Amino acid sequence: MLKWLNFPEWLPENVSTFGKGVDNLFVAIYWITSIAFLGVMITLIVFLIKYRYQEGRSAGYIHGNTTLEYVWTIATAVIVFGLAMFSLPQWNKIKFPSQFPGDPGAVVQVNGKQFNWDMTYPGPDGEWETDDDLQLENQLHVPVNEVVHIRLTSDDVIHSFFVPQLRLKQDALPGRFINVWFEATKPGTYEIPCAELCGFGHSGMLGYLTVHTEEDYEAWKSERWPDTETKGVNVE
Amino acid sequence: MKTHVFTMLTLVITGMFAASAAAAGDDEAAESLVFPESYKAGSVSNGGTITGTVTFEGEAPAMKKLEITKNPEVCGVTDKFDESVVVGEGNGLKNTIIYLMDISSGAGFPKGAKVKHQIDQKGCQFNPHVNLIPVGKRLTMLNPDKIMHNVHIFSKENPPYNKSQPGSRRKMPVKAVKKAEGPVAVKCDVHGWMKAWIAYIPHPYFAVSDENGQYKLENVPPGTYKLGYWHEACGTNTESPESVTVDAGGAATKDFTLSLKN
Amino acid sequence: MNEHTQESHDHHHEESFVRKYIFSLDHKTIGKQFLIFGLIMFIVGGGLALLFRWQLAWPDRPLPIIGASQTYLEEGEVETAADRKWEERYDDDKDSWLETNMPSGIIDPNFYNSLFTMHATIMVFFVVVPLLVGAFGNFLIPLMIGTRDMAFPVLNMLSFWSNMLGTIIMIAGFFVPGGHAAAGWTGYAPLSSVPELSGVDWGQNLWCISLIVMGISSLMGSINYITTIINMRAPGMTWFRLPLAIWALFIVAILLLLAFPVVASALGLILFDRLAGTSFFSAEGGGDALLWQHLFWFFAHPEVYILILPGMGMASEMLPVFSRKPIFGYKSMVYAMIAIAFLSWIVWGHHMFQSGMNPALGMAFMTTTMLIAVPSAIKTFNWLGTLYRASIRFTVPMLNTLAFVSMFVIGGLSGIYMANSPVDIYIHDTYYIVAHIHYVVFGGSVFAIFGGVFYWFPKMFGRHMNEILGKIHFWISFIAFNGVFFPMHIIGVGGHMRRISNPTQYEFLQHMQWINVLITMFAFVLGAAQILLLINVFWSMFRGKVAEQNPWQATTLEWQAPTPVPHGNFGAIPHVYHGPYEYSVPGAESDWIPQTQPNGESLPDEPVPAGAAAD
Repeated sequence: MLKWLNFPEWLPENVSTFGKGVDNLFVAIYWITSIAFLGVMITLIVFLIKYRYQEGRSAGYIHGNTTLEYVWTIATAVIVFGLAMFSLPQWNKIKFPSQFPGDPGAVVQVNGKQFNWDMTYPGPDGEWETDDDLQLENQLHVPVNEVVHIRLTSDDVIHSFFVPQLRLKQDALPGRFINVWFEATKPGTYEIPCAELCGFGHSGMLGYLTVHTEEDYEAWKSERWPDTETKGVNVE
Repeated sequence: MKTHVFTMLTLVITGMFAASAAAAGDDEAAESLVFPESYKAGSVSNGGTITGTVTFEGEAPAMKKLEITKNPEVCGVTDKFDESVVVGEGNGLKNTIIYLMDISSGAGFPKGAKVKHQIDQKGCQFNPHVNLIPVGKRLTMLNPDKIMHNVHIFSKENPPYNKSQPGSRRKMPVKAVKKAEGPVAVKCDVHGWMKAWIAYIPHPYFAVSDENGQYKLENVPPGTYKLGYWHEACGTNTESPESVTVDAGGAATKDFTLSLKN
Repeated sequence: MNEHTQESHDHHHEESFVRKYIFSLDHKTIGKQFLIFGLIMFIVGGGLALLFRWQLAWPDRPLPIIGASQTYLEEGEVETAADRKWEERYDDDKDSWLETNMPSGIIDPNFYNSLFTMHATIMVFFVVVPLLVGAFGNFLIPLMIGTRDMAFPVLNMLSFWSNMLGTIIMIAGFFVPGGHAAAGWTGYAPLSSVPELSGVDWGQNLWCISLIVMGISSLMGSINYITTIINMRAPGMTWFRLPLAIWALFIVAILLLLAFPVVASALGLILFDRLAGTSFFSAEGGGDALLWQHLFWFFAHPEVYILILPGMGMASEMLPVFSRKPIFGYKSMVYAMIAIAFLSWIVWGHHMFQSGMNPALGMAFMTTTMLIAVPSAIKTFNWLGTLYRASIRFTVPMLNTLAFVSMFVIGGLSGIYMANSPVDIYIHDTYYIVAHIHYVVFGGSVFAIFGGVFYWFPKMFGRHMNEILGKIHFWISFIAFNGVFFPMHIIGVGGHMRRISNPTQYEFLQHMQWINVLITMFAFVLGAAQILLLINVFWSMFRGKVAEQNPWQATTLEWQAPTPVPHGNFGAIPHVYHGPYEYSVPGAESDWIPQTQPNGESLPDEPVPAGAAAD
């Protein structure tokens, strides 16, 4: 029963560097709202029992209490405004391109299209739309513990790039490139569902993010770009 | 007040229809077939036949194996290959449309419900790859896969068609079209590798070459015609069509040798 | 309209059936028409929800009765009568409605999208707005402010009938080729603006046209409400003697008036894109997909408050009556509602944190959104304050009102998660938002509607609804409601995306599928319980216990009018002496003093506004 009420327990495992910050905020809000909820509900139930209709007792004639009203107005304002200010750095860190950590270990363009993700790697030369570009459907390969930059766009409708374990979500818009970043901390395969309704194939639009260890990633690269192996593959 | 609102609404909507009618048909023409301006269907007696072989020039490129990234339990059971160039025995080129460009009267389409136009999607591949669907005839899509496909026909002259066909729907009728067009691409957006072509044809003098590159046009009224071809990867000969003469009850032969565009 | 002509009008004019019940100009009849209309659409919208809940719990399993058997699906062998039917349908080469939308009894993914799109569209535009604003607004405004009818009775009638026209257009969408609109009730472009991308043809066009018509209906209503409330209040009914329900409806009418033109233009642009080949929302033609979202949410966020404010107003009516106590902090309630209405215009971006708009806007919208918690908290604390030292009667309206208050608290608090933009990165477009909106709109507004129907029923129809049936309906609804929507928070936190038709396709959602099953079971209970409500409403209309004039011993003006309320409402226009919630006044004879009766000890008779005096 407690598990039902303990929301944070239901979060999937976090495997990104900024995910912890999101989770911490989630937990903080969870406690603030839980306490507020319990406070209101306990008061409500106590009032309902205590002040139920009883023979011979009449209700008070109270129109309000200015002091009390000021107190709870200001208290609420301080709490929510403080929460907003407290959250801003986290938001900036994740979403502001100017604050992205540099020196990415991989740069990938992700195209949403009905109903698949196209992943394009610029290849060893690091340039888009050259001969060594590699396009893979629904497969995103990145190294662990390295910053990854994603150039997100869409071919048709709005899609949303969502990796629950990374705590990352960003809509992909046709005609725009939106930059996002993440740094995965644990090797493994994670699902990339589409989180924005994109048509009748929305359910089932699913890609896979494979986070490789350093050696695995090198192996994967030399498998995909065998010619350049001797020169030392650098995706950036 | 209310009258004005409704009048304006009506005007706006009517205006939209007018505008949409004007907007239709200004898309750029892709490599497509040439259709006669009008065609009169009647009975043909003593028609001749045109046969021939389409050959691919040079060494046939190896068919690229497709990467199955979805529903591998159904789609990945057999290997799938890119079907843009399929070359058979003796370099015979499959999936070439051979047709009469300038025929203005001749036979009609075979009548009756027996002739069914179907495209199968078994194992996440369209079969046949190139389809001739008569204008006004219904196409039926078959889905024996028990997973969802969708039929996305990229028509330009006719309204584009895009409909899901869930696994439980073994047969799905696709509405007949009104205009000759094509070939237009057919795709499944769920399985990005699935691709086929449909030509909506106004007369029956179209044929698709078989795995040996052979084709046959039957019941052709006697006369001289321009003979055209279309192939997905090899393009068309719209600019310089072949000329062929068919005698009453006779048989003409015309072979083609095609190479990749560019 | 002057008192004298009104009365003479009553005496010698017997109205025809059509004039009296169908094309009626009487605000009470129009209110009742909206009520019955809204309740019927409530069942329709709920039915759609049950269909897609089936799919979510048991993905790609055939529906009971009409669905084919498993053997038929797997082997193709005909086993049951339903199988035979399906075999015939597939063989006849015709594209029947069932075959298109639920082949073999399994809901087609496109139909699934239409189902949730239409569930939301119907619930928002055809149930909650018509009930709260149409039914209660029409019925209550003239009665509660003490006038004989709306300012523009013909406009009022047109409002209802254009609403019906919109409904016909919307329902027709289910039966056009290509199916109904399937881009969600938010209709995000370009999915909604390019027919080829969704495969939906006229369905989406009809959706746009219907919403424009519905908007026009709302405009007519809101112009009427604003004019009536400003100009036609009874003598002595000053602004701060207005019942809170009227304040809420007044604010809502202003919101409707200002919000609708924005969405009408946006819907028009969609229609142009679809029908005239323009590209307002298509990038390849120089348009922008985000334009739609800005326009839509600029309308739809106020719309969300349009859905909840009247509920707040109605709860603020019922709470004092059954607590036998004045409302706590009347003026701060009014200011809180005004604040909510004002803030609703500057928070729309919180729906778009992840949409790709400039993240700097995200910062601004997070701050403004968080501020909405302040007026919401004020209202909640005031409701609690009203219960302090009260004498609470647990009648059906009171139970529903208490459910409203507590469910609104949950809905409000869960909103803070999404207002917080970093947390929203994760829970945006998951079931968390589904839970949130339902706690606000169902837990909030709909429970207020339940309470309101029960509370004002005696005045509307001259009879009481059945108390026992009402209590059964309330408890089943309340428990099942929480059974349906509380677990949605949990699967939302687990990452369950909204609007997916088959959660079993995702590995990371597998462990939560049983919760989907649980939700669906509660949903069926919740749906079944609403039949009790319908039975109670329609049975009580004809067979219910006959009601006296003021059965709840309430102070507001509508209860001082005779029951059943005659044409023209009041014998003589009442004079108002004090505020609306004078309960348990010390030293008074009874524990309530109607607004028409001076309460002796206090409140000087305030000056009468010019408009009211003219009436």
